[in-house]
Amino acid sequence: MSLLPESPSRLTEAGRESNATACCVIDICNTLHCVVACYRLAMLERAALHQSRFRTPGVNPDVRGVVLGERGLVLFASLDRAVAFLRAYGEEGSLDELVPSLAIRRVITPLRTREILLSVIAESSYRMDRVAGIARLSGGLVFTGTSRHFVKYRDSASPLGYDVQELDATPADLLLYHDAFQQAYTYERDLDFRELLLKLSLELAPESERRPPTRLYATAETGVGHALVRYLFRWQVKARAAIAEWPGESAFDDGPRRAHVFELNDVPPRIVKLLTSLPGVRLFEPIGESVAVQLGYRHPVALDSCPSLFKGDMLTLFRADAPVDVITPLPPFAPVRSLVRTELTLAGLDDDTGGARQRSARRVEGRSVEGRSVEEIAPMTLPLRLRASSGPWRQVRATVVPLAERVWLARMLYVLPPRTLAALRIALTADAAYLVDSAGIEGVPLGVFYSEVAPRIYVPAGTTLEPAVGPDVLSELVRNPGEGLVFFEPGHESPTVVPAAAFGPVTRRALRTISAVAVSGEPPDIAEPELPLLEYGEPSRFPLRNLPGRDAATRALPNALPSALPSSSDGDDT
Amino acid sequence: MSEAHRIQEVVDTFLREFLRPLLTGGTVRLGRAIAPGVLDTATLSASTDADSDDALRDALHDAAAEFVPTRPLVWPDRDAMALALACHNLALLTDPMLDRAFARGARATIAEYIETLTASAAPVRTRGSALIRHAIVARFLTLARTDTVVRNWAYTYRFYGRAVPARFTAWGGVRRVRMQTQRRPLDALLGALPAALSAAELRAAIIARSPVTRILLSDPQTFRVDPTIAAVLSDQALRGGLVRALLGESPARAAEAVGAALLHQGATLRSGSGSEPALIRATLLFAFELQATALLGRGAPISVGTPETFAAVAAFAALIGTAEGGELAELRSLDPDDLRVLRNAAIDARHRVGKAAFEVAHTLVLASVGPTPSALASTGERALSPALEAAP
Repeated sequence: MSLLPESPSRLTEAGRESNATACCVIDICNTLHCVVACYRLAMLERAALHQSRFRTPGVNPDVRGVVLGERGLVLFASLDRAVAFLRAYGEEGSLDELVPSLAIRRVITPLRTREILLSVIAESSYRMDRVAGIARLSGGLVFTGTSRHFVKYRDSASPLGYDVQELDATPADLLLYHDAFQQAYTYERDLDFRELLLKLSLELAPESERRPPTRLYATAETGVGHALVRYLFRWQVKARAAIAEWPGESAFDDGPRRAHVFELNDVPPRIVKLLTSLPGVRLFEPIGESVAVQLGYRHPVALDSCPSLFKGDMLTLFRADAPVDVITPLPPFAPVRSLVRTELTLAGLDDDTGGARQRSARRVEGRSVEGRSVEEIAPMTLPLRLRASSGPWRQVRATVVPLAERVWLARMLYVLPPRTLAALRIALTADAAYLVDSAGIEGVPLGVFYSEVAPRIYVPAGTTLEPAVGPDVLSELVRNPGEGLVFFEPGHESPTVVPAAAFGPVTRRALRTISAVAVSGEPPDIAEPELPLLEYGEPSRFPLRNLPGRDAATRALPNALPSALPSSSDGDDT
Repeated sequence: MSEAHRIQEVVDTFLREFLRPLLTGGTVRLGRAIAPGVLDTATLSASTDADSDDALRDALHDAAAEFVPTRPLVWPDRDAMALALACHNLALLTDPMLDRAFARGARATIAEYIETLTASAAPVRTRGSALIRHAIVARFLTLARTDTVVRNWAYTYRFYGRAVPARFTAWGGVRRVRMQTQRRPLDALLGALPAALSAAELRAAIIARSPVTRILLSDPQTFRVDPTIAAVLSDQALRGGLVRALLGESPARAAEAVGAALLHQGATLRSGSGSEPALIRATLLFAFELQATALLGRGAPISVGTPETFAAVAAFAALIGTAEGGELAELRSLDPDDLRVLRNAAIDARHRVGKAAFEVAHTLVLASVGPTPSALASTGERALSPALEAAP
């Protein structure tokens, strides 16, 4: 059996072995005369009932007779195991009972191995039993002690704990005595538990654990924040909004980063689905009062078991794709109904609308009485009209360039990027040029922009059709569109239909046929130099006679190749 | 003509007829032997041929830029000039006309010149110096000689590395002249020299002064990471350029070379004599960069076939898969996606090499971050080679 003490997993395995194995380890150690200064086998003896004097300083029996110091230590081989312990402990009980006395330290052995040490106050053997049970699950070793010497906590082999046979005088910050080893450690640095929690990456929550939350937080970039306010108001979602600010990360930022923060209650699932898929918007599921985790994810450690870490006037939002957003102090929230922009409407218009509704109702009653259709009684045909809208422009995919601006359009084509040119389709009519780009027409800053309100139906951007019919109904209402594109142009009573066949790539329609002129060319010189050949000069009978520089000595003595690395100050590059 | 003028003429001829065609291609003309006393003049005095100077600088910069983007190189460089003069003399040593009465004794003197010139080249201290040396030595190793045999109806003439005078080929039809040429590489010419001249040792000494060339040759039998090699490998940009060049030529040979160096260092650790942590670190980083570039660039890990490649892959797995290796600055500066790919590959490599070899490689990683060699020698009960033999 090899003695490589620096592998903590090996220590764990050794700790699980029986006493017979430990004796075997001792024999091998004696045989090999292992003199590693930092690692020796610890000789522990079992504590007896009613034993009151111990060689380990700072330990005493508690009411049950279990050897207990003021603190308990859990030693982990790596940070992920320590996180596993915290995770399991948080799932099982409350981390809050450990947090006030919890200290996480990275310790280092004389052989430069780094391990993680978790220290808590050992209030009672009941708490230590729970800590020890979960530590064993997550691959940790449990010790108890008070200041510098920590002895192994009790296990099934010694229900009352252990005491050392002889104290180690090695100068070190910490000395651990296990039944399989004895190790000295030096403190390297402290790890803050809250900082650790903030640095852990979120995990994707399994589908089975995802439940529609009743309360949500959402953040939205400033570009979509106002639109989201209107949207939430329109659908009567119980929501409150605030604007959060974070200082710029560097001097090169234009200013502080801003985002809208929403607190949503009783959100319908369809809106949750929409907001989840909306770029610039992130949803967070609250865990407690001031912590939230991005929807669909979960934090590795049960955050609801340690709410004391996130107390105060702050909101901590754990994001899956970026560092944690901590909003402090918490900005004031206001209901979205008080933030939405109001539009003035004439009172008479509402009266007219109400009257029409009443008239329509009367006609329905009349149909049941007289047995004739509504159309026969009073035909009602409402024309579609364009009305200016204050809403954002959406799906702006076409532009109509008048004949007078055709020259400008031709000049514009020279500066358009290749992607825009490749996607742009144009139809030339006697009055105007119709340009369509399914990815957005923003690249052509000419003419009147049109939004696609339904498939192949366009209205000028910034206007809407009234009555506000849906896209499907609109497609049915526009009769005989054929395969053409329908444009509702201002000032025209009926829409214009441009046949789809009239559209073609702008590069084909606008450019003249190119007749290439053939010129002759040659490949460039090969950069790779040819392999050199050697050729001797004229032979001489006495090759070294009168050789120039033969008698001159070289300026410096011959240099020997170094036996050690040159220092960094010796060279500028290497 | 004074001695100074004669030396200047030798330098000009050397630069124009040897070094320039050596770097830019063409026929290298060897004149008389060049004594070490010429070195100072060649380094300090400006060449009288500005065109040759410009061509030399361009050629050196082109050769250096194959590996790393580099600033204008400092030329003339005394150490590189000494190596170039040594190369000239070593090529001249193959002249068969020196093997005759009254001239035969000159060869031992020329060999001494080569030794003196080679020894006067100081260890590499800058990236530019390393690249200039490699540009010269690598081109020197590609030298070849054209041997021509001319036969007519009565006689046979042999011209070794010399042009055939026109009179020997005149009236070819009447005299039934036949010519036969053979191209012989420099290595073959040096191998044919008498053993007393130690031509192979002289060649090896020149290559030893050019660490970049040594790395690129990467002979698994002889490749060891000494302080000079470690200094080159510690330069991140240069290491990356060398690895890309090696992967383009022969990835397996490079992996075997670095694996052999790791095995050697493991054996040194086991013997308790200790090894410089910086040397182990440079070797590990070289092995890591080789594997990482192969994985990220081509998506194919280096295969495990020989004990040397086995050691290289185990070192990669230990460097990625342990806390000590993970704290290296080279790993922390990696892109997270790339690091994820490498970690997955390291897990796969760990399964391939087995636990025993992984732990031994881990010992090397530990040794590279600082512990004393004696402590490692006492704790490392298993040797590297037996572990590799026991591994699947």
